[in-house]
Amino acid sequence: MQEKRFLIKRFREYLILFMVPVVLAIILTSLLTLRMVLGNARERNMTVVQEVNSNIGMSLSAILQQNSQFANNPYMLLSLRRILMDSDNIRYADSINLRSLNASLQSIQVTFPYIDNVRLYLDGIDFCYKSNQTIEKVNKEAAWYKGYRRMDQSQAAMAERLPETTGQTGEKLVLYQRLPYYHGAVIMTVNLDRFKEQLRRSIEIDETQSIVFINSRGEELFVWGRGDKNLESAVTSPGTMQGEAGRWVNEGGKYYLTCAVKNEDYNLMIRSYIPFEYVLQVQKSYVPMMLMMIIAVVLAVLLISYITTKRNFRNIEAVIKVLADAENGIYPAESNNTHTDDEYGLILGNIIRLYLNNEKLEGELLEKHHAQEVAALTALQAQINPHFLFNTLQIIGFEAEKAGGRKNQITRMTSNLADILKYALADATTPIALKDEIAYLKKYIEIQKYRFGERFIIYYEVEEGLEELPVFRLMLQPLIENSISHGIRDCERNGYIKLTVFRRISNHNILFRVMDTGSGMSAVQLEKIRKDMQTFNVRNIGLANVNNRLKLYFGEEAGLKIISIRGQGTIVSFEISEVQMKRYAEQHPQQTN
Amino acid sequence: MYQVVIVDDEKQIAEGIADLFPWESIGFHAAYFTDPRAAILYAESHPFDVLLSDIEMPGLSGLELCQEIMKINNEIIVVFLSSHQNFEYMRSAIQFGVTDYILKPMKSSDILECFGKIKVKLDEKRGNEPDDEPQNYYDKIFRIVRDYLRDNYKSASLEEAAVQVSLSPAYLSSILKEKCGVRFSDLLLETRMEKAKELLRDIHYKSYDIAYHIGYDNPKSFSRAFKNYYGITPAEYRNGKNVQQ
Repeated sequence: MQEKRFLIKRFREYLILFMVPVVLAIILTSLLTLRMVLGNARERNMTVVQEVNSNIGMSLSAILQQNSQFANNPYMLLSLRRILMDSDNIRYADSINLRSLNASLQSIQVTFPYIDNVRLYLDGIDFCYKSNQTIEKVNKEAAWYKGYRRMDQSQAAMAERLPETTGQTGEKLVLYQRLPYYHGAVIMTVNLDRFKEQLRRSIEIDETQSIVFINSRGEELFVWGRGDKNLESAVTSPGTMQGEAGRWVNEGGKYYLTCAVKNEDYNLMIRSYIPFEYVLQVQKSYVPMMLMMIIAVVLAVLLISYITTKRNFRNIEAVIKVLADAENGIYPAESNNTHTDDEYGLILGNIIRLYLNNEKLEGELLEKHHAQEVAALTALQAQINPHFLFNTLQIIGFEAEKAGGRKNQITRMTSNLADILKYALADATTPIALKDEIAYLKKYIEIQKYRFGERFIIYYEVEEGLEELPVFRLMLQPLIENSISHGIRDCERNGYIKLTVFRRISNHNILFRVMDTGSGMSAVQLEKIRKDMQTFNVRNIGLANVNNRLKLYFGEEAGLKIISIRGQGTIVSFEISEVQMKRYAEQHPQQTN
Repeated sequence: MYQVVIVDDEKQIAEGIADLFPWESIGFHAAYFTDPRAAILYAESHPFDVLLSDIEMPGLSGLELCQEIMKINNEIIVVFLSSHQNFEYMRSAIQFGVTDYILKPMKSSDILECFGKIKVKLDEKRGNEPDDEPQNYYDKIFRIVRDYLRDNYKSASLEEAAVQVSLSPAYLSSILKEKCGVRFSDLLLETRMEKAKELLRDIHYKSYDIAYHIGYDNPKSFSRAFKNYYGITPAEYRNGKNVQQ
């Protein structure tokens, strides 16, 4: 249980310790990869945009060049004008020119299959020339015408999306180009599907990218690429009409990394988008690896915590054993180096040695203290002068015999008193057999009976085989005295006192118990008596004396334990371990009285 | 009859021992002195068998007195009387040829026990046959012991019984066994068991208390003894079952 708690605690500590660098590493890697991905994306954007631009440039400039052949040729223009003004009467020269113009326009259509048709329009003339050899009446409601009219006078070229009409095949784009020396324009209709197809063939684009074409008015012309549909309708931010290397924009609620380049020929913005999701996706691909790393760290930490906890507990057990031994009086040798397999052990070893030395010294001090007490007691004995006491008792006995005959109460009492005094005043340090202590108790009880009459019954239950147990003199008498004076004397009814001595089956400790059915003690009285017992110098209280001597001879845990319930009775008990008992018997050779 | 001389500087004690103890009944004449030198003078003119002397006396210590008297009679048996608790001192005294010691305050049983052994020793040494008394003497002793047990069954002991008849416990024991055919312990048991039956029949006594009144340490050992003696437990007896005779 304890071990588990420590394991969890250590695991937590180590986990924090190990996780900090791991998390830092993960964050750093993420940042670096993000930077890399973004840089990469930016670069790809740029490349694609530029490629698209140059592709358009290449194809469209070819058209421009061809256009300029006649756009810069005044004869050709004049010829065209005449043809358009009066298409019914075409002069020979003009027909030659028309033929060459037609050939030129045809070649454009052949070279660039995505050009649906080319129109030549001159301002103020009701007819225009269309690439497939037709002269067409200008429809003022036609989208291309309106578009041309809307065109800014300062602009040389423009692109515009053709609004969808019924019967139209695919999306169309219109390119306008003003004629340089004459009011008019070359107007090309581009089939977007084919144009896109052409782009696809010539430029490699990856699936995350989308290219958006925007005209000079900021209108979106079309979207190319495998990117998401979101952009087809949602590109609203016109952006600057300058090229830019890359920035984040929000389009229809989604973030994109974008990059733009300007096509000067047609005043087009070519803008490439990479969605933020792509960046996320790249980051996501690292997640399993990071998770594995974290799991590995957690497992490693668990293992390390387990090993250290196990090792520490082994050490702790060893320490506890040494301390327990010390309490039983077995001190390890000075050079005991069992714990020096690590720095912990070294420190612990030193602390333990210090502690044990201290313990030993304290024990010695206690012993000295006790010796002083015995000396004091002996001095007291000397003052009373047993010689005087005993002689007086002897004389009282003789006088009683003279007065009352051989056997009477007084001779009996003096005889018992003499026995008690002889027993009590004998050398207090030599042990005595338990049965002698009990024989003495019985004499003591006999005298108490003169005082209290038959108010209590006392029983002795000593387990067989324990009669010869070595004990110190007057070990039990104060306990019985306590029962009589605190339990029986104040009690109205007759009481019982029972002395029980037995060996515990579980641990072979020897248990001494005095139980009475007297008046018991209140919590306050009990507290006071427990406190008095702890005080070392309370000589006049028998229990304190016994308590001190028990602890001195048999160790701290042999002290008196008192349980009492008011009106029910009191139990005073103590327990001596087998080891302590043996030690006491060895250190204090027994003497029979 | 053997002669014992008692020396103690306290007159009341010396006199008390000599006069109050029934020396005659254990085969001794007693004389006492309070001055050890007077005892030495007496020893020169009157040979005696046993010296019972205090150890600490003004003028001459018990050990010195012992040495002086042994110069006169080296066969003398010396017993010290002391309140001294020093066992080492006693041991060294015994090396001097002191036979035994009695601790003050002494009781009749101490003297009986000690002098009972001395008498046996003296009888052997002198070749005296132990006095053979007529049978009615032993019967009288038996009666006294039996009465003593009836009155004191609760705390009775062989030592106390011996005091009643002024014999040493060992001698009383052998008389009872050889002349009356009964052991003291059996006699005590019989008395207690008779009494137990009586008390068990008396409903005023709680069964738990009877062990105490009979003189047993605890109800369990009483119960066991009763069962052994009568074949049924005290509870069964109380409930009306008859004992096996």
